[in-house]
Amino acid sequence: MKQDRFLIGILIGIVVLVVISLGLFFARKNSEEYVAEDTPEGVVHNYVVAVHKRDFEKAYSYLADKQNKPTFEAFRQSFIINAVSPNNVGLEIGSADIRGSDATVALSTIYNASDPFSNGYRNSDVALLVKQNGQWKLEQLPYNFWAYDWYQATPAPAKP
Amino acid sequence: MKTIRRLYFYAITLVSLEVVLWGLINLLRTALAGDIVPGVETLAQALALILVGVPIFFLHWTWIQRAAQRDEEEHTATLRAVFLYGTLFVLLVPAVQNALALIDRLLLESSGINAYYAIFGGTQSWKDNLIAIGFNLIAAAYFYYVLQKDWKSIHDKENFADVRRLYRYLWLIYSLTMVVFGAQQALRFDFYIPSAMLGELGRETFVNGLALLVVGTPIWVFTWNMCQDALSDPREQGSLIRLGVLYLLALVSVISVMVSAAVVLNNILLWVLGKPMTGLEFTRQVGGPISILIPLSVVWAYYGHWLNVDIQAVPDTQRRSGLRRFYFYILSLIGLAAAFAGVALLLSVVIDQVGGWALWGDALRDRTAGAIATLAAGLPLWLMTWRPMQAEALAEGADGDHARRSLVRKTYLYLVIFAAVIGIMSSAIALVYQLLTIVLGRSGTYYLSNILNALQLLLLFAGLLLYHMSALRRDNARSADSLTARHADFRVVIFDPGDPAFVEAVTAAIKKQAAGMPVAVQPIDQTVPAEARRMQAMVLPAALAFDPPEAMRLTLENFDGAKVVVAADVPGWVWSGQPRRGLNASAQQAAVALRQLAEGQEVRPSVATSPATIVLYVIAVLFGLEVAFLLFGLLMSLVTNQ
Repeated sequence: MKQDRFLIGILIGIVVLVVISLGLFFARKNSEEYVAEDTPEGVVHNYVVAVHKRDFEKAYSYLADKQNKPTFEAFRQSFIINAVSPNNVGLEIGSADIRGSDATVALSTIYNASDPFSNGYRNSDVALLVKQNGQWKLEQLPYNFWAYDWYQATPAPAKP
Repeated sequence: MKTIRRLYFYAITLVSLEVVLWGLINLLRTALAGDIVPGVETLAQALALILVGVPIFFLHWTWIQRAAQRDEEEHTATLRAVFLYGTLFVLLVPAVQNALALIDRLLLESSGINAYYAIFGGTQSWKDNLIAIGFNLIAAAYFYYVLQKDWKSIHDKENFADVRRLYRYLWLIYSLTMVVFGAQQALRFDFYIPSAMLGELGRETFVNGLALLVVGTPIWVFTWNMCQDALSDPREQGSLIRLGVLYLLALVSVISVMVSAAVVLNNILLWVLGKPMTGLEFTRQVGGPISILIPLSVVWAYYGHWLNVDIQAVPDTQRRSGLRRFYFYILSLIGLAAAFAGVALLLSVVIDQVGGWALWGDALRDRTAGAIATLAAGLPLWLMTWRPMQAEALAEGADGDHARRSLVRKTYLYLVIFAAVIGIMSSAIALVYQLLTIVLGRSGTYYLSNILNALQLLLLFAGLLLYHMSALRRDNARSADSLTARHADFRVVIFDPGDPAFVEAVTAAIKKQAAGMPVAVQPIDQTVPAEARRMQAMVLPAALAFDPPEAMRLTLENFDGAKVVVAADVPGWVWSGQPRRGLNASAQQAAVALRQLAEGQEVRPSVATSPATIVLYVIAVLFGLEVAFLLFGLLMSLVTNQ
């Protein structure tokens, strides 16, 4: 059969596309690094990086000391059993609004597109922080990074 | 009866095979999973599937094989070919899907991304996939062996060749879908521009695309080359399946390209019209449609090229033009619908702006951009496809005649006229409703806007109707002129066997089909004049054709024109493959044949259409219209609802 140059061109195109995409894939490898944590934004950033690196001890250290704070084991367990799944969402950290010892940080949570035509979607959210012993600590984050039962009182067992 | 029995045996065999196969796969998956306690129910289910399925499968499959050995008809039956190739397909596709899942997860895990994001089988293990691949391949190898043995042993290979062709093209569509989707995912990733976002979101897109390309490309190249190599066989060259697949690929890709181009243009217009958008956001917005546009443009170019090659290879010029026409009219209809919607949307924006009913802002910007984008995508497509078709229909001579009389063109014109009349009705109702609302005491500028919008739609639909009505009228007038001349040049002699009913029926039928066709009647007991021998066609009853008097036999032997026989019951003769018809219906058939001959067409016997078939046609048309409206709605929503 006569050689199909068009088909060969398409195959070369596919190879070129894969090579370019591979280059971009490695070039864009997200090297998440810790930053200075003297600002509310820095604390949110470091907490998320620690969670992504599964450095749960470090992440736990950013939690505020308040009543009903989860134990470290309960905190770690939330990630292991996927009660908190930080991997299926992207997070953009905006600016902080500091009022005395309280602060809010504007956040955008970004979700993947569910079909080829869409571009995904983003939600506006906030992180709540409090200053304790001169350091900013987290009181609340969006649910992809925070379990709903943290800092909640454990209900007393019902009496028979 | 045989076919029903065959269908039963093959259907049960296929179902029981799948039951046994997936029972075995689940059994092994459970056994190797290591978690005995939660696997008890799965284990019991798998064992139940095997214990019930195995005897049923063997019973039916053994019967099938024995019947095939005994009876050549069973052996070469289309249903057997469908079963063998269908079974191969349903065994090999899961093997490919599991290979895809396995490769995808391996690539994701080696890139440090959670395997959960695999496009298929994100929660499976490598053992799950290998077990499914192994069992499906073993079963496929057995049926491949049976198939190869059949190919060697059967004499009549036509049924198997037809089904094999379908099987190959199914693989082509399946593998090409993987390649296109893989390329789309890779391009989607390329257009993703990272920002200060934390997280690995989006990286799995490329890995999934890579897995699809790695698995899909070799299968696609192998299958397509197989389809192309098969063309050396003359039986494969005129294949309707091949032509249908090429049409499907070319049309689906061109529609997708048009929609994607409209979405890209819509975003560009939004930006130009002042929508606040950073370069990053803009790139993200257009990245999705561009990632669809590029691979499908290649598919359109490639398979459009092969469709063109195949059409050009058709030796009959009329059939060749007909195939080309079909492609052009479908595209023209899509282009016209989009261009019409674009104009209507744009006029609506103009009305609202001029009347001051809408202030310039996000909503009006979106509407303006959507309208222009729809128009810009639809209008060039309509002009590129409608103009050549119109030029062809306006041409003089036989080609123009055929173009004007084409069923595809007539269907197109009547479909547009139908849509225009429905549109006129709807917009007229809306207009009258709005006017009556005001007459009955409601007031407000909002009503004026509605009235003007209904009016513009009414005028647009009226314009659409008038244009297409004039095209149809022109076609009919030109066809009538040229056809009347052709009919007048085609002289016919009817041989009268002494039956006035016969002569009357044939003469009336000819008058109905081609009023200007000169007809002479020649009683068979009179000498045939020399002039009758110079006629273009002779018409005679079947009894006379089968047993002509000696003088008549010589006349028929020496006659160079067409001899048209009016079918009728003749004692001692049996018409095979022909439905029984009365004299009038048979005379009508003969008249149609004469008209076709006069117009230089191929004589095609018309098949009597049963009421059930007509009902099915109506249902099919309604379903087709629903699908067309659905696609049109999707196009509109993609362009206007960003």
